[in-house]
Amino acid sequence: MKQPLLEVDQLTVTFEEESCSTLTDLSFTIQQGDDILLLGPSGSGKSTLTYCLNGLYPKELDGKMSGNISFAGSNIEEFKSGKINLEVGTVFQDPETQFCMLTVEDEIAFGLENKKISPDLMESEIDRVLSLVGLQHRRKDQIHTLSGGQKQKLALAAVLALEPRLLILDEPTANLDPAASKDLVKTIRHLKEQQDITLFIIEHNIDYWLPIINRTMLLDRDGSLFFDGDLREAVNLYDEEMQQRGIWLPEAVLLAKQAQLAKPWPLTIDLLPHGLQFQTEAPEIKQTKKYIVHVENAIFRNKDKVLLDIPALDIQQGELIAITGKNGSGKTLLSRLITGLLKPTAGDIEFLGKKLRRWKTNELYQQIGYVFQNPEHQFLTDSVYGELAFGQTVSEEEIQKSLEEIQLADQADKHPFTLSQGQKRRLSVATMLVQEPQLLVLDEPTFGQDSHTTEVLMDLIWRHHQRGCTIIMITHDMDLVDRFASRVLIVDQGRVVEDNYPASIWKKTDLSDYGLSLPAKDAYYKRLQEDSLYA
Amino acid sequence: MHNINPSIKAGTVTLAAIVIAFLFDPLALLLYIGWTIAVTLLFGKVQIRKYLLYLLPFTLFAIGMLVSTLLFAKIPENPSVTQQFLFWDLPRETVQDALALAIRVFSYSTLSLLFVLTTDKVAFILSLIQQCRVSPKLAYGILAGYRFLPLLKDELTTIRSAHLIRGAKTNTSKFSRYKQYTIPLLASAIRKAERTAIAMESKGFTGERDRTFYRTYHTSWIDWIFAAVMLGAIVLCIIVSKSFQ
Amino acid sequence: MKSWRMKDIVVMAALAVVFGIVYLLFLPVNVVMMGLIGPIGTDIIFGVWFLVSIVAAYIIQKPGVALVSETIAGIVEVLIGSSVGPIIILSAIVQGLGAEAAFAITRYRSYHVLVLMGAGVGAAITSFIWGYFRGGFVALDPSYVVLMLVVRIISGAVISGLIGKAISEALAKTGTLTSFPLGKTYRHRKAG
Repeated sequence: MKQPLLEVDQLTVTFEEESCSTLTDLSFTIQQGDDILLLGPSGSGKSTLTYCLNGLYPKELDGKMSGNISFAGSNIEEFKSGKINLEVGTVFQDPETQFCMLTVEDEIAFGLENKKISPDLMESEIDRVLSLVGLQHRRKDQIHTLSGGQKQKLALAAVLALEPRLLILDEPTANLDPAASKDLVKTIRHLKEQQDITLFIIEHNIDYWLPIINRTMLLDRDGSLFFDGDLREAVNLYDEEMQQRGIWLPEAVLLAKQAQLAKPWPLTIDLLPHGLQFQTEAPEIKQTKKYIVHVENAIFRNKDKVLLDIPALDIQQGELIAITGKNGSGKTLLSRLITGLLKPTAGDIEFLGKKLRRWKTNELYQQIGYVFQNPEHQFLTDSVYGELAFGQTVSEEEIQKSLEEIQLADQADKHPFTLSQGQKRRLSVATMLVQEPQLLVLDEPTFGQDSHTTEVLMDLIWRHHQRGCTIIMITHDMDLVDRFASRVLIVDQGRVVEDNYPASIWKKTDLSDYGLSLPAKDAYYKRLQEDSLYA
Repeated sequence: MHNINPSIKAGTVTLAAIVIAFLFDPLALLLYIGWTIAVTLLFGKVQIRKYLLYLLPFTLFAIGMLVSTLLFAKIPENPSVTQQFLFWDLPRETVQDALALAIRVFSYSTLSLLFVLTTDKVAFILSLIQQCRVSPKLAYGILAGYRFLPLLKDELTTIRSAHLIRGAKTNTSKFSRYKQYTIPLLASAIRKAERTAIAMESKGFTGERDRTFYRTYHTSWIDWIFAAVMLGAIVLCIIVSKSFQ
Repeated sequence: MKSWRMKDIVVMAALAVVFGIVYLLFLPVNVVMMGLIGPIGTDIIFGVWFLVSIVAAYIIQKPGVALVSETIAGIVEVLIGSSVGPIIILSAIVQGLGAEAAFAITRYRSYHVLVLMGAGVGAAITSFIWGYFRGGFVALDPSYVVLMLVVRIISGAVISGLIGKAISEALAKTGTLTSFPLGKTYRHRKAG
């Protein structure tokens, strides 16, 4: 048997501030050519494992680490400082914080300099790795002018320049929209065709990576390994366990479960059998005919560039609207104009029959709630309880009730910043809902969240919607739109290009034009249709 | 001008500013200001409009200095010798001191612009490593932090809107509002910094001096001539000014 | 410097950038204050300029942090395109030395509030001496100059010492500082 690329033996990591270990007695080997997907509930130590594998721990660790990790036969602690990083490359999840230079070529050169490559060879190396990820044309550009997806490709290129044998991708799509995510996956597939590199991918969205991976590892909450093998086997044996731990299942598996199909379940929609039926409860459409928002000829300009142009838009009380479209299309901008957070360059926007600029700020924001993408931006006090009680005349019981709704009752005294990502998100939504606004806008509320938090959040939002709260939700998740929205707006290049019921959109619009894809069940129906065409 | 070694340029400008600190002759200072502006515009290929735009806040600052020095000047030795300044009769000594000070502040600004408008930022930092023996750990750390500037500016705007929505404005004092902005901003900056540091080390960065450079900076005789000419010009200005008096 | 981790340095630079933004917000205040009450207006808010030194030193608690963080702040100001040009790096070093001195006297063992205020005072004094020569305070009424010094010392003690302490501790509460000494003391105090 060939020598394993990486061997992990009884690895246990305990942080100084924690009573339990974050990684527990982990043992596995990675062979050259493996393409591993690592799944685990949030807080199961996936990122900690990354830092162990690329040699940052134990040096940077505040805590204890025991066990052995060896790379190509030698213990990684025997590598000279910085050397193991040339063998094990890592791309992290946040595209903004992986760079230290200002231009694309300088950033690639930074790694080459660390590797002490002769300056004469750098030109050609920079060209080589940039063309691997398709960024040759941006070589001289400033990094801040790149899109999120391009930044992530640059981060990949900068790591590839070190010519690592093992490439770790730590939630590389966590901050990217679906179109950019698929593009990144395509880039990595292309890379696999070009060179022999072993992949270790940490992700929560399995579907993107199905075409690449050949082995799956599942971590449990306590950071121990509870499955190592074929993904098909994992989802057929442990689907319940995975769901309980908040791990997303592939969409095909979710559909199969929903249709109560007998096991074994396939991993992709293409392999589902014909004739499955899914209940569709189309959300009822309430025609109140009472406008909550009325937009007339609103234009938003930055210098000479028109970023948003909305000739007319009416939103009725009691609707649940999904706004969707590519990143940078103007979705967030539209939501900021409607809520008065930004003023249109020209035109008028009315809220409850009164022009936004005639509203008093504090009265307006009694009626409007807005949940921002980063929950931390909205926190004002230093405890969870304080957040819910802040500036509102809400009774003790109501606060308790809302703490229980978001499952944070036992964390009431904690500083909001110390919560987990999912808890922060739930808290930020709850702070907006305790004031019972007429209109609630949510900017990508479920983005990057595990399945558990997504359920809790949508449940909370749905209940307030039932009580009459109008909801506007920016999202890329078409399954969510299909389940909850009564109306969909697709924004593209600063214009609302589609405005219809979800079911009509799925039938009539080519979503790929807008970087979107069909909800799973409609993707399945579409496949059946195509099958019958070619049959 | 853009090709002068950034470290030498910075050193020259700094040295010139120090020498000027001991120069009280308004005419000599004015001459030197003219010289600095001429060098910037002629050899720095800076557009006049852009230059004036940058100079405006400094001009206001210099005027502020002038007025406040007039108001809070020390008691002159010969208060009887006065001079008309705009509409007022003020002790001549006071007026001279105040003018000298304002002009000096103004000359710092022109020296600063000479550097700022003709120097690439990355080049300056890299040249600090290569010419001034600044540790790469420090220099690349600074560049990494500097990258956060636009991110944090955007974040500040978002935090403002987010707080507006929560009605933070209505029932808190101005000071606690500053705190409400500053703490999330700092927390986010520190976390970004930690992540960036990890990403840098993951690319094999050790902070040692032993590394190669894609962009190398050298010093040549042109750089030293630049330094000599800029500093020599001060002496020249003094001599010319003396010959007028 | 050898004992510094990469993240210590990037964190200092990030702090310098945030406080750089704060300085920029304070510049117009400075001009207004100066217009209203003369050069002493600058001295009232001068402590803002040393904040980064005190906050960084209190968070990271290693020798040299006060000096280097202020120096980094100076370099970052130059990168941002500051008014004063590269000479601001020298001013920053001078201020940083003043703050560093206070910590050095305790041999970096104490970060008591008095030491933090002392660091603010130290920076106020060294920066004043530097300003005396550079800014031409000679031309001003001597009693006025003394008053300026007193005001600046108070500003250093209060704004950079006290407010700096408050900011650092508020940050510790957010759990962002867990890998720094201040975050650890905070956690132990809370646990103990």
